[in-house]
Amino acid sequence: MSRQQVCDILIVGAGATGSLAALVLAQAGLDVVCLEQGSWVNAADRPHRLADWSWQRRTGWNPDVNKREHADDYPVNSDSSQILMWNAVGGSTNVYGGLWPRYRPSDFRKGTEHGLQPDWPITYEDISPFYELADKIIGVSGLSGDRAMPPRERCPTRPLPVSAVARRLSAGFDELDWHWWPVEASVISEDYDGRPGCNNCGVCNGCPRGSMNEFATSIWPKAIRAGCDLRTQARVLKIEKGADGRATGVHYVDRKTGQVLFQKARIVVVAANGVGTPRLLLASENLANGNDQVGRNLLHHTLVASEMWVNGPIDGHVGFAASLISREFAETDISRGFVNGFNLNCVTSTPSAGELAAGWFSSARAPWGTHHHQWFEKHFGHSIGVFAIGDDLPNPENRVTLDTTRTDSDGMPGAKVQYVPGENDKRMMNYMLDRLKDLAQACGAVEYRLQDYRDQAGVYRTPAWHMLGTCRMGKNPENSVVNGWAQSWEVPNLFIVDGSVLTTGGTVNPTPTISALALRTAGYIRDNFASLSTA
Amino acid sequence: MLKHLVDELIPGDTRWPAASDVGVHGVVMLRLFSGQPSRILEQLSTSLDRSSDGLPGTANRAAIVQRFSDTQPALFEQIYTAAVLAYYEMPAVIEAIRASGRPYHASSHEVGYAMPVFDLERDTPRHGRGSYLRTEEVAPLDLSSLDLDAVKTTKWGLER
Ligand SMILES: Cc1cc2nc3c(=O)[nH]c(=O)nc-3n(C[C@H](O)[C@H](O)[C@H](O)COP(=O)(O)OP(=O)(O)OC[C@H]3O[C@@H](n4cnc5c(N)ncnc54)[C@H](O)[C@@H]3O)c2cc1C
Repeated sequence: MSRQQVCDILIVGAGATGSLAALVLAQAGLDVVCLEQGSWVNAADRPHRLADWSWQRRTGWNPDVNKREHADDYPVNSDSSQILMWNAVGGSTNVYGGLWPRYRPSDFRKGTEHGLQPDWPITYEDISPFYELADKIIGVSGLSGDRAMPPRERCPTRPLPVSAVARRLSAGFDELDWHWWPVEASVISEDYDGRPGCNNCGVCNGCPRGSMNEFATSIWPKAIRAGCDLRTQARVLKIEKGADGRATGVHYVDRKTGQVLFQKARIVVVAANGVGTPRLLLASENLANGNDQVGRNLLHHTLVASEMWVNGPIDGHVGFAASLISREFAETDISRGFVNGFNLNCVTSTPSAGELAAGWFSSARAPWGTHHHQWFEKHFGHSIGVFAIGDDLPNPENRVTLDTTRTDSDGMPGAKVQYVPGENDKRMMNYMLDRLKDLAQACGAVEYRLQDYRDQAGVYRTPAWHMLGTCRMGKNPENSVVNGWAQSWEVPNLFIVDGSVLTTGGTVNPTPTISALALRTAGYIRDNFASLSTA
Repeated sequence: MLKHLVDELIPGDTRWPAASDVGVHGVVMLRLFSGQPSRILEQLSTSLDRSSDGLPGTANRAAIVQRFSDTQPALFEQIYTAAVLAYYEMPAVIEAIRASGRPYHASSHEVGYAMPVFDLERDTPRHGRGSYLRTEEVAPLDLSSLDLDAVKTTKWGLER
């Protein structure tokens, strides 16, 4: 398509959700253009096969935008959280962990339950078929039959192998009489859709083998074959709005040539993630923000963790990064002193001996000097990490704004991120830490350390791999940015499909829900294209 | 330049090579200092060189490194972390890990680890625990006991 022509659908961002929207809409025969500021990530450039991969994970491949230097990034000035993301085709899934749990019905009904968060405009039942669809497209491993969740179809592939860590933890959970279940993962346990089953290597931040679903390798080739015009190194600077209040297209810079171009579009779909999307809308002369909601109510999840060491080797460096999930505390129980719930996301251990010795989940690490090896021998192959991850309450002051002091290489303002946990979140984190302690004791840990992600000054610096809520969907145009179809209240041909539309954060990793919503929205645009694309 | 320092940080013994035996000092120098040592490092190296007893792990040298870690904590952290990561990626060290009885590959992504597949019969949990609220079961809760506005948590996290 000529760049002067109007395309049917213009997608901003080629990450997880941009790829799914492109697939659905291109397969429907629409003219789809996707603009991605980053490049393709070649499997050969990935650190996984290199001897120094542990070092690379802390430097050039660090998921924290502020701890690496990469030409495709934009500045994110955070007063607290560690901003974890990747800007490239496939987006943050180039470095993600592949845990793939679903939200639960009550996550969509927090307004009804306690009113400190709004209800979603949709219910679990609305999204449920799209969870199933996402799982089939993506290739997921897991086990149906969990009584702590609504029934689900059989997973496309069986659960990943049970690790020695999982056995140890499940014995601890049984001792406590707490729920546990094999974790669902966007990692295939058997060959699926032309990709090889997982080889249990443990290096699960992205997966150049293709066993973990990376949207760049499993979704994008199909979307391109279906006709999507994916332009890389194409940074969108501004979404343009016409006099009729509809989006007309986007100005973007072709970073290969430095030329600024305009791409006209009938419908604009933003998929730039929970930081990139509000940044772009705010930079587009405050687009879709008449109610001052864009960028507000940033959610990351409440997060604390523990690292425990047990007697007897359990080789946590072997196998998929996660082992079990416990949904024992997922629903609100007021007697705990707070609203909302949390889950225990049990991982295994770091796959890297060096990472374990240098300090992994907690402040524990091998001492320097004569006791170094003694520590290593006692701890390597004996360690287990557990996250407690909970539903944080929205706070309008936790937000993404434009950073007026820094611009990216194309002159677009950077993003500024503010996040402070609230009273309910703090109470929940205290409770979570106590439960992590219970679990360590029940697992017979000979040693354990808790992690609250606070620095020496007490600032909560959570590893923020979840960027949610900043353009949330709602029933009410006054306190939300998009409606139940992820359509802007103000700009009718503008849709947002990334994690920013989540109304609440739930108690689990969000990408299955984000993906299901993106598929649902894309299907809606496809089915109603004629009416949505005309004034 | 960093040879003596890395051997103080990770000394060898009968089972484990010393850091400098596997070239950690060179890797750290390249990764952190692009081969250009700073004045602080030169001074440190000279004092370690001159320390009378010579052998790693001896009181004099350990005291010098401790002083360095106390006075230059950020630089020390950087060097120690880089030294540890470099050490454990070296083939001789990986061999030592394997010799200790643990399965471990330099490039596990390439070769993976063998694990028995999930056996539905054997591995499906039988505990029968777990419940959830259905959409229509979610009902308003009485929050009055929580006092979220009035009672503030001042001690939280590890200081709770
Ligand atoms: C280290 C890490 C581990 C994670 N682990 C898990 C996990 O185990 N389970 C889970 O559920 N989730 C996990 N996540 C989160 C998951 O990666 C995200 O939820 C998911 O990628 C979000 O998809 P998205 O489409 O919203 O955004 P992204 O995938 O981040 O994609 C956004 C894309 O938009 C592009 N973009 C932004 N602005 C512009 C612009 N102006 N012009 C052009 N392009 C633009 C970016 O370059 C990027 O490619 C993890 C994330 C990280 C960082």
